Parts: sequence; C-alpha cells; structure tokens
Amino acid sequence: MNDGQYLVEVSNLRKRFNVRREQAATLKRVVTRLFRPYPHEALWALEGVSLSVKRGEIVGLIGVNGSGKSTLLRVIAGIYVPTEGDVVVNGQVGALFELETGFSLELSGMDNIFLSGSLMGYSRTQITEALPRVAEMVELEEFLQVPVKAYSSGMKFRLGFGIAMAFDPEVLLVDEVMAAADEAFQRKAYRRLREFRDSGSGVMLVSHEMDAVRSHCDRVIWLADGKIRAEGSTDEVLDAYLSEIGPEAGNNSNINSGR
Amino acid sequence: MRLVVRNLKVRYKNSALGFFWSFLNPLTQVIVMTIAFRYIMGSQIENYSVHLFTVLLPWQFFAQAVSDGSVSVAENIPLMKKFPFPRIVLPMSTIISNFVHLVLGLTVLVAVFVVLRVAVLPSFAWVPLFLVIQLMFMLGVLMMVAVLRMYYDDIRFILEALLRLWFFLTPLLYNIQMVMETERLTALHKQLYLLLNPLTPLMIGYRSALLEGGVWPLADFWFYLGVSAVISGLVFLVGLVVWRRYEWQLPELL
Repeated sequence: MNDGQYLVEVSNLRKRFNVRREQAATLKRVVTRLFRPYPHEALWALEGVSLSVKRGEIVGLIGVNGSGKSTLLRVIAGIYVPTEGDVVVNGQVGALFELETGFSLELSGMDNIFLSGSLMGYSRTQITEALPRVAEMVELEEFLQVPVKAYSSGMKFRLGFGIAMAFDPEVLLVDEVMAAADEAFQRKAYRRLREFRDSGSGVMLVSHEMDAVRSHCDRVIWLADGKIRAEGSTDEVLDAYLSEIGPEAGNNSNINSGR
Repeated sequence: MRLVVRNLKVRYKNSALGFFWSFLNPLTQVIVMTIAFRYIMGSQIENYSVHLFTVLLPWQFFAQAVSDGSVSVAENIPLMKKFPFPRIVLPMSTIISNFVHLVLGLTVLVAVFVVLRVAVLPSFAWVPLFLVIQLMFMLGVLMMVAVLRMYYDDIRFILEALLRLWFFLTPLLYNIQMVMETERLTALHKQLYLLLNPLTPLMIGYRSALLEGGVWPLADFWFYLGVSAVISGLVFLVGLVVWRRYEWQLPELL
C-alpha cells in the first residue's frame, strides 16, 4: 500500500485479443498452412483506458455490451495480462464475475468455498476461519452440503457474493451479477457494499440496472468501444448515457432505463 | 491442492465402491492381460501377473495423467476466468491425483508380493529415482500438450492413438530380454528402441528394481537411463518455455 489512497491505478491500458477467423482449427487446416501464421484478427477490447479507484468509493462502470467492462475488471483482477499500459492494485482483490462459471457443479457449496478460497490463495485455516462469515452472508446453511448444480441462480449469487466478501478484500470487483438475487438479498448485498466502502475499501460495480447505479455509486465511468467516453458524477454520466442510448434503443428502452 | 481433492471427489462422486476402484482397476486389468497373454498367447515369463503389474502401474500413471492433464487446462477455463491462480496448478493437480492412484496401486502390489511370496527387496529404493525422471518427462509433455490442446481439438485423438501405440512400444507386456534376443530386429532398431523412448529404460528399471533385486537385464542400463533422463530434462525445459510463454494467455486462446 503505497500512499494508501489509490487502491487501483490503471494507466493507458490497452488489451488486444486475437480472435480466430475460423470456428475451429482442424489438423487439415493446420497442415495445409503449417508455416503461415495462424489466421486471426486483432480485436482491441480496451484502447487506452486510464482510471483510478480511491479508498471509500463505489465506482460504477456502465456501457453497452462489448464495450470492454468485463475485460477491464479481469485485467484489474490479474486474470488477463495487459497488452500495453500499467495496472497497479494496492490491496487484496475480491471478484464476483459471472455466476455460472467457476463453481464445480458436482461439489457441495461447502466444498466450493474451500476450492474457491484456495484458488484465491488462502490457506485451509484462513478459509475455515472465514466460513462463519460466508455462512452468515449467504443465509444458506442448510444448503451448504448440497451440490451446487441444484442451486438456483439466486443461491449461486449468494454463495459467490459470500466467497468474494469473505476474505476482507480491499478492492471488490462486481460484474453485473446483482440482478440474479431477489429484492431482499439485493438490498442486503448493497448494504454490505456500502458498509464495505465506509470501512475504507473500494468497489467497482458493473451494472445494467441504472436505478441501482444511481442510488449506490459515488462516481460513474462510461466505457464505449474500449475507451472512456465520460467520467464524473453519477447523475451527469448516467443522464448523458441514457440520452444517447435511449433513442437508439427504441422499443427496447426498458433494458437501458432500469425497470 | 484443493483441486486434487476435487478431482478425486468428482471422480468417485457417484460410485458405491469409491476409492476401492483405484485398487480394482489395475487389478482387473492385470487379470485380463494375464489370461490373454499367459494362457492364450502362452507367454514364457514366470510370474506373469506380478511381472505385468510392476510396470503397468507406472505406465498407467503416465498414460492416465497425460490424457487427463491434456484437457485439464481447456476444461477449467471458467476457473481461470475467475481466479488469477498460477495456471500450473491445473496440470499439476492431474499429475498429483494420478500419483495418489499410483501410490495406492503400489500398496496393492506389495500386498500381492506378500500373497505370492515374492521377496520384498532393498532394490525398491531405486524406484523414487525412476519416478523423478518420469515426473519430469510427464510434466514437460503436459505443459506442451495442454497449451496445444487450446489450439487444436485434434490433440485429444492424436494423443489417444499415440498412447495406444506407445503402450506396445514400451516393454510392458513383454520384457526387454525378448527384444534384445530376437533376430527379427537389427541392432540399429534395438538401439533406437532403447534410446528414443524415455519410458523404456524406466520400465526396465521399475521391473528390475521391484522383481529382480536391481540386477539390470541390460549391460548398459545406466547409459540408457541417462539418455532417458536427458530427454526427459529437455522435454521438461521445452515444456517450461512453452508454458511460460502462454501461461497467462490460456483463457484467451480458445
């Protein structure tokens, strides 16, 4: 923790993916073009993004699908390597990405807590210590011995949220998963996020629910085509975003304007 | 290492006999092969079952870990997209869970020795050396294959066919003396046979250490083992280079 103020500093980040032009590689194609470079197209998911997250703030991240929000969170989480630019994270990261991924469906919720915890780099004792916190958070005690494949998406959300919060991360990355939970649990989850912020941690929240962003985020960043389109106070950025997206979306406007 | 537990748990999730299969699997295989090769084909090797068992265990360790391990990375893309853990955990965990099976199998082997009154020998002490060379080779192979597998689905089928061929090109069902004595192979063939397949000296070693008290059936056994170790080391190094180059791009490769 250098100066203790910036939790996340991203400067001029660019991320390129090599997307295959063909669906699948087969041996025949490989042999016929053995010495030619593999056909791929460069897809720049992020093109020069700079931002920072301070202690004690919830930063909303909005933008249409494919604008680079998830890629950005994954680079910050250390899952993707930046192609260019720098990412500095001062503190433990907790991440909550898509719900369907990362759980072993055959295993019980309990086993998944241990598996996730150890993949996050925690020891068995640390995980055992964190267990009561997860259990308290998820309100699923009676389901923890049931295989995760039997969970509803709401239950998976609770489990994922509990695991992400369990190890007192200083930076929490949340990728549009809140919608899976019911009203009551959503309220509880957002309350936890605010407590978390007030205790000096930082949150980056990706969401398509504009109402939630408006009421919980201290600041909003709008990503478009891998670049920051606008950044600033929640109301300003949201209004700008909605006024641009709204007319274009036409009869689909309900998707963009919350409920 | 939690992944190891997961592999084992998932593997035996819905089976009544659970871990017992680790013993039963090699055992049934030995029984089938003994019937086929001793009684039907009429192999002349004494104590054929034990003979087979001693090399079948390390072979199965190799074959199973390589075929499980080749998909271990591709299968766990969701995990990689969620947690930034060192990716080597994935192939390593398949090696370790198969190693657990090997150890269980070796326990059975010793039990079989006792039952068949085969002496338990001090030359068993060589086994860890062979295992280290084998592990190095396996890890090297896996680091390459697991990355390649992300590009080409074909790897799965190639590997399957290759392992089947490899099985017969390694002295498992027959012993090395039979290869050396036959006149159907030229001296060159025999040399290639011993030099190119790093598993050959290893299997000779396992069998000899476990059954023949370390009386190596080849005059130049240590030379061939050395070659095997060098090849394994090279494979490991190349694997490591490939792995380091691609480790953090794995989920992007598909």
